[in-house]
Amino acid sequence: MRTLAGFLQKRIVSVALLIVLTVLIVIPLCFVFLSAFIEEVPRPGNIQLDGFTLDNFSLLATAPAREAILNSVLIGTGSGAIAVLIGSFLAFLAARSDLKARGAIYLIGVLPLMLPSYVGALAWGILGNPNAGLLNIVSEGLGLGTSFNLYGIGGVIFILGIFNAPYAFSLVYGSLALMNPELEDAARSHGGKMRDVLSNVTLPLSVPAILGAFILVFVISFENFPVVQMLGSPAGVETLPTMIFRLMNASPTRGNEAASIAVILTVLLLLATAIQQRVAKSKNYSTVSGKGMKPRQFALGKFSVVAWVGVIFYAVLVLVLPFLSLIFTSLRRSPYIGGLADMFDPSGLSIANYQDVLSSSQILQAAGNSIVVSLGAAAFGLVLGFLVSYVTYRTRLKWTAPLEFVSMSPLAVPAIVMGMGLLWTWLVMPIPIYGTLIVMVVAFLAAQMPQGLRGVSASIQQVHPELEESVVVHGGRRTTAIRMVTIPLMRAGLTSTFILLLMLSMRELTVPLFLFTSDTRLLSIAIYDYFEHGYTGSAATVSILYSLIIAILAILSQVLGNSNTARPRRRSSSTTVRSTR
Amino acid sequence: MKRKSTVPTLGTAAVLAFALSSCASAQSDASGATADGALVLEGEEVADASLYQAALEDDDKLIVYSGAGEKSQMLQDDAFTADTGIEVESVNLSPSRLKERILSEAGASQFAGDVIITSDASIAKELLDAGVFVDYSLPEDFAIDESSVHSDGKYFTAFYPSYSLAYNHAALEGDPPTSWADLLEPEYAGNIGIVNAGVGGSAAALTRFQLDVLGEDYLRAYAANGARVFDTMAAEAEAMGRGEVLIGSMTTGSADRAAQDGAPLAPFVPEEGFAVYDYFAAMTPQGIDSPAAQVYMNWYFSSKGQQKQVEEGAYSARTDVAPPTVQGAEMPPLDSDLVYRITPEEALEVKDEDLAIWNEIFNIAG
Repeated sequence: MRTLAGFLQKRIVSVALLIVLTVLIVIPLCFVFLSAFIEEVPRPGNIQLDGFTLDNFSLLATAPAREAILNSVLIGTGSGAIAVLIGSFLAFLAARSDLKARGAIYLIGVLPLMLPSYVGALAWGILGNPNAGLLNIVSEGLGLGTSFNLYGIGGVIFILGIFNAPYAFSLVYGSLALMNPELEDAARSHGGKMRDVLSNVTLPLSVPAILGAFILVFVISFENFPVVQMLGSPAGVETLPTMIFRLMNASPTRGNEAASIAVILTVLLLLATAIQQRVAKSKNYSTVSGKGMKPRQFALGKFSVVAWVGVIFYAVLVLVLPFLSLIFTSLRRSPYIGGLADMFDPSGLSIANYQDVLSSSQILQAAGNSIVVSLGAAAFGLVLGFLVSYVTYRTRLKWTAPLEFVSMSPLAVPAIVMGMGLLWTWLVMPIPIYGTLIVMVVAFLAAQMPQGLRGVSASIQQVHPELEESVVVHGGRRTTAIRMVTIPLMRAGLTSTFILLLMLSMRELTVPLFLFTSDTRLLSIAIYDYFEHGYTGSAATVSILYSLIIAILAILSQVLGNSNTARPRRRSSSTTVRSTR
Repeated sequence: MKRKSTVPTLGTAAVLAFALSSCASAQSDASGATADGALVLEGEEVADASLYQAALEDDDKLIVYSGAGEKSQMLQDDAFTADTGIEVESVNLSPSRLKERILSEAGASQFAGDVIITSDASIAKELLDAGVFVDYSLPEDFAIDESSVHSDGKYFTAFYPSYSLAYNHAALEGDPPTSWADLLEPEYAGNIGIVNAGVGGSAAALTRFQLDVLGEDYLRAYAANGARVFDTMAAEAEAMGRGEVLIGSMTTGSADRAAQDGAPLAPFVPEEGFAVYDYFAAMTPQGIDSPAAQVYMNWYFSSKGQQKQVEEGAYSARTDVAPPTVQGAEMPPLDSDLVYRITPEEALEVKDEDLAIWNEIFNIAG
């Protein structure tokens, strides 16, 4: 009896958390897996466990499906390469060059993170569509003919490359900034020129970070849905995520076939994620030492001008042009532009879109929904992340390994697959939350569990357990020790994790795509909805307001982060890096 | 069709008299309310006094599950509220997602809809088989086309949107097109649009028309001329408005709405004709017990309610309502040779085969 009690005591908290995570994460994935092998999608009172079939997978043998797989791989590879090139270039300039105003370069490196890639795709769709894109109108007006075409796989690769470059920047910047200068110094003192040191020492030392960044962007782009839908679909480019979306929205819905593609997509992503984790672990040989050190700066000389041109060109591509196109489109009275003269005709401008959007009960409701859902997801995500993290790192309870594994598993699950699973789960569950904002909070909790756990874990590991133990040794209750000692010491980490989850929830589009109803629309959904229903002017207007809200949140997080920094803290860059899809 | 009992007893008449006085403010807001308590619109009784007063006193929220476009549904709901003084709440989703939600909620005994409005014969069939549609009798003096009544009154075709052609008159140079055949001309290469046939009943109806009237070779030539495939008609209308495509198949309602929003679109009736498709309305097991839902259904099929659909570019399910207009000209009557229409049963028979052909032509998986 005593043994049983002990057995239960050591496991009961882990099991309770495991049950919660199973409902949040495992059951949705099981529904997707199950649906791939049966003939009807799961519904209340209609879950068929007989009649297993492999017919759903026959779709994958068709030529368009094979093309979709190839497109996904091409998009992942191409955008990964572009992101790494841009990210590494900016990281080198910000971390190791002798340029002035390197802080500004750092800002340009990370700032595009604030702009969700689908907003970027919307903006570049307006700029670069082949027949009526703003750049083409200008180009034709100047007698240069039609020069730009962002519709197609090239456009998708370009957009995902430039908008995912900040992820590569963050990883490579970390590697370069922490690099031990001794090896470079040794090379220089033996007469090595700057070019030789860079190519023979600095670059090889950065390879793991660059490779990790490439695979990370590959994964993010491989599973991307909205950018491909906005820029690829007009040219007939389909990928696995867009196929899933199309089948889920077919009439009647072809959920089982969509699930079969989801299974394949997840397997491919699992492989890529496993490789990325392997590469990330091998980063240790980037020679961080315990000694005080300051990496040497490389004098760029006459290349400074070229470097700045490159930085400014990137900023124009990723920030200036997109925002200008969104602002212009939001102010246009008519979607049709007759030519260069019409484009700059002030009488064609109007603030009607802003008046419509700001007085639209749907948009105001969507804004309210976004705030409520994001706050809810961030708050509950933080609590759940703390509980799992505490049990894993601060207790000797059993079964913490599966707890961590399940918590991190959404990293390897495409957002669109997670969305499908959550839809079926919460339609079938005898808890009537489908069609409410609660299901959105639950969905974000599941999808962002890895980010929540990583953020809290990084923080909890920095607070030595002895501080908490001393309270208990002196007669304090465990809960009191946590409340009075551990949590206050973790305040900065908890705050930044909360803000991170808040931002991710505000940006997320794909996970709630199958879950929203007319009453539970979020701002991200409103943008996509406007785009899908042909209201580009309204989509541009909401995008601008949405970007402002995200920028305010980011500034707020910076301010709060600074004011709460009770002690120096180093966070894994991957906490913020693997943030959006 | 049976007319609902309209003979109130003396007792209910007395209750009515009291109700009339207590509901005076609600009635005064409604354009169709009459002094004797009935709902009469343009001389047509939509609800007798007992039904209308019961609907006004009904505390339960009237909920419509609609697969129609959100904007369009909102216009209908606002018109209904203006005419009746009864508030309505709509749940809007695309027809396929709406069906999934209804079946799931019904399976969990949590379905709260009173009236369902959706397109696509296969979706209507699934909902019918799931028992979500129940018998309902519209007022018998409503001139409803018999072919609009399905499964003995379990569901009705509420209106017929017309699926035709439209072009961008600002960007198009030269003579405007007049036929489907014109779209195969080299001058339109890469500038024509079409909506994915798999998205629902509307696109399926167009595909049937194209295969049956214009022929499979026509569709192949259409695809070969660089047709851009859109996921929604609204997206096609927007792209056409901006000049991304110059011409393409589109419902006259979508083209008209885009034109009202400032897009330079001109829908027209091609020489070879055009397709219409069914949009269905049905009463649910909850709705049949709701006076407000009964008033809603009656209003939807009333002359006034049907005219709202015609204003949106659709044909009425009634025989006494004029066809819609396009570019100021009245469209041909529903029974004209130019109007291609198939029954829901026929649509079900050919849908899968048509979709397979279409997917093969446009290189779409599935």
